[in-house]
Amino acid sequence: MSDAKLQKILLQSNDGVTIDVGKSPPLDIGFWRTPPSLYRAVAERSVLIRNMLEDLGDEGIGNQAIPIPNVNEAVLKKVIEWCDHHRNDPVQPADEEADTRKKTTDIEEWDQKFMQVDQEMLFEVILAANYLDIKPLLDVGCKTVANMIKGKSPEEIRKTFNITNDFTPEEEEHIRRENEWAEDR
Amino acid sequence: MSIRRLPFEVVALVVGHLGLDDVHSLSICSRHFRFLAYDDAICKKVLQTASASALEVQQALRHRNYARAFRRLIKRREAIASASPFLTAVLAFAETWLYENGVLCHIRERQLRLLDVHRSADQEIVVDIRKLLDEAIPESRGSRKYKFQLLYHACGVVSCLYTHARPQLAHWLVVFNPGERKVLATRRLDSAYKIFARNNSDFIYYGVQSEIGDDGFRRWVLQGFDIRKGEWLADSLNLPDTVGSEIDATICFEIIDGYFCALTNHTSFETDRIEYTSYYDFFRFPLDHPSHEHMERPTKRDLFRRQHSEGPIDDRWTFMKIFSDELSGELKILESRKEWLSGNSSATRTYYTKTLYMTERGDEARSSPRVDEEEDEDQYAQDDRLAQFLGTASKGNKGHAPDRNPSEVHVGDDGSTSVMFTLSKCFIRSYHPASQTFLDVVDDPHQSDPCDQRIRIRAGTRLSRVRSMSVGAKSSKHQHHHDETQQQVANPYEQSGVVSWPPDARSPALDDLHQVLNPPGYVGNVHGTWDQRSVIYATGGGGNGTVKALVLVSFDPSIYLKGIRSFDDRSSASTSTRDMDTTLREVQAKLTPTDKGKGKEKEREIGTTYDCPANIDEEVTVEHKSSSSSGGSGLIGRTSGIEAQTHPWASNEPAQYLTIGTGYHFAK
Repeated sequence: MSDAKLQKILLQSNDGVTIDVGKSPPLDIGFWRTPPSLYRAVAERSVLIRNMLEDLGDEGIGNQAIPIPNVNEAVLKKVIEWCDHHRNDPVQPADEEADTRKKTTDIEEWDQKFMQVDQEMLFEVILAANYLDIKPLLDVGCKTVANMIKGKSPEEIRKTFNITNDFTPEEEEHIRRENEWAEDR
Repeated sequence: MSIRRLPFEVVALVVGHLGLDDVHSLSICSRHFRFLAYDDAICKKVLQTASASALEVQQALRHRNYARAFRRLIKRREAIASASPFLTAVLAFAETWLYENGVLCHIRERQLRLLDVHRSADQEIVVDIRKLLDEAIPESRGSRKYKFQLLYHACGVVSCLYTHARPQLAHWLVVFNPGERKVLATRRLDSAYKIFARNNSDFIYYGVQSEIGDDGFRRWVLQGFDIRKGEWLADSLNLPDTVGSEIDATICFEIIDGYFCALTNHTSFETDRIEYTSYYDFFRFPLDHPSHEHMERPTKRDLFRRQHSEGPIDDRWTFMKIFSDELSGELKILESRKEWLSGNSSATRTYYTKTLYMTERGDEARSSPRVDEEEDEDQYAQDDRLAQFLGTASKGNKGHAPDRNPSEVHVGDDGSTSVMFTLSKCFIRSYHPASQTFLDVVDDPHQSDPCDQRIRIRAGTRLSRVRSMSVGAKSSKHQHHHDETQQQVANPYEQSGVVSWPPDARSPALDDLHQVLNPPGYVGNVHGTWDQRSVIYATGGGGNGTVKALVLVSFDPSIYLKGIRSFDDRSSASTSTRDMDTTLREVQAKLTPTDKGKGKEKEREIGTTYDCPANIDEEVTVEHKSSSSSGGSGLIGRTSGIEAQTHPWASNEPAQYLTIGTGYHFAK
């Protein structure tokens, strides 16, 4: 991590709102106490922003706001909230395939509470995490969705996510009983 | 914003946290998610984490067709749970047979034929037994009276026992690879009592109860053969403490993951059991180190089986298996017991599974014979009056019962909820852990014709309560209550009702199906075997040595037998039983691999030779004809186009089911 020369990081949501990572927190959380030297650590939870900061350099950015065109203000603040809480977490290995067998859907308590939002916000946070390349947040979001699916029947899943069953009964039977003969038979 | 708008890569991440059933449920929610069952990358991830040990996954690793493996796996489990097979067919007519690891080995008239059912083969390897024996056992040449018994098949290797009575009684183990046309090993045996064989691609083991202890009980002795080196392992392995002699009922032997595994449900030769606690005994050793020093065992506590106080048990119904769990890859044991639990007036068949964790190994286990931390609780109190009535073994088996994990206890049905079948009418009893389903093959005659054999499959499954609640009306409609037994294990599962196949109704279509499952002229004397994707049973043949029809019922949607018609597309005119009987008899005669001109009486006489161990000393003349390696007269015409075979004892021929042409598939 480089020295935090740039202490003020501005992000601009797709609805045109500029958010100061250090000074514009939602009021119900405490990261406004974040010392300015750690603003950069918060922002750099996003690999996208970190790469941008590295590419442009502090001088290149100056006091300009970094546009985040795919994320609106509410979601962006939510994401910053998560980044602030996890600003000191160790960086995860990049290897996505690492130890897939040990993957669980256990979510730590703070994250569980953090993810207690309506589905609209949940999916927006996941999309934002995906766009901003914040793997741990993306992982928490995916686990949350997975937990909403686990153990449920197709009908329950439809109900949970308001999905319409667009299969005909004949199609459902076909799915269940379609042969799986080898093509080279 | 909805879940449908999540991009592919995010859905893939979500799916990475789901199990097989969850991914399947999501994939059939709507057309949007159907891609999950067709995407190889996603299915690979799911299969490798959720079901790595399943055969479908093992095959997918070779062919890289993970999506198909995913769908196969799901459909197979569902088909078993709902007793809805994908295919049934008469595979062959045979005198003796064996079905192991997806390959049907069947013998008729000195011909051994091997049909790879799992791979939907349309050809069979045909082995001329006499010529094989001429090569494998020179001492057998000229023997006109012998017994040839199939023991095992795995990895393309067949193990058989050859016995002749003259000039003196002699047994040989014959191991060969018919695909490679290669005799791997032969060994003259002093004893073939209770002989069994197991193998993988590298090692063969056989075992006999050849030793007799001071107490008069027989003991197992194992001997291994290294296929790679082509030599027998130096020392045999005596098992003086291993009790049990009935394979798959009181003792099991398997080769799993490079280990030879043995399981018994008896730990003492003594029978004076009062108020006893029963334990399994399990051990395994690496195939290249058959010794007590290399044996691994779970702790005794992990091998708890049952307590006498749980209720009487009908041992005739008991079956056991050692298996590698499809879902977790863990080594597990399965036992089905029929018990009168908690003083119930009706017996319940319960399916117990147990995960084995190896903790002891080698010398220390032998020097302190598996009493470790349970030693204290295994002893009777000094003032226990019961103790004076007990034998040594019973005293050593007094212990406290650990709690059973509900996931490892599947309470089956009992007489209070459905018609129970006698043992003689329940030909195959099986349990499928991956589907959480018990499955029987029974004779269940229709009310209108109680004397007519009607083979049916009955299955009962269970769902975890979370999942079963969602099934809704379907589940509650069939719901049964096994109050006492359920309470015993505080079961978080909900039983579904028992379903039977084919349906009970009568119709021309079902009459046709009836004739496949009960081939006219081949009724009675039903016996069979099963694996995790199919059952095969033999029906007909009044006694040993006479020809039986071998019927396959497959739950694997990938198995396709050439020429087998769709049940939905069958011709509207059903065949009468008499016509079918005549047709099958003609087909059987056509398939009989004997020279033309031999009478039927002669054929039958020869047939008994292979199948009747007790007849070994009877005067049965077997004339060994020089039948060509390409097989019998009935098949010569159909072998055109197949590579010319010049091997003395093996050839390829079209599968018999192609000629029989009796069967249906139920796939869409």
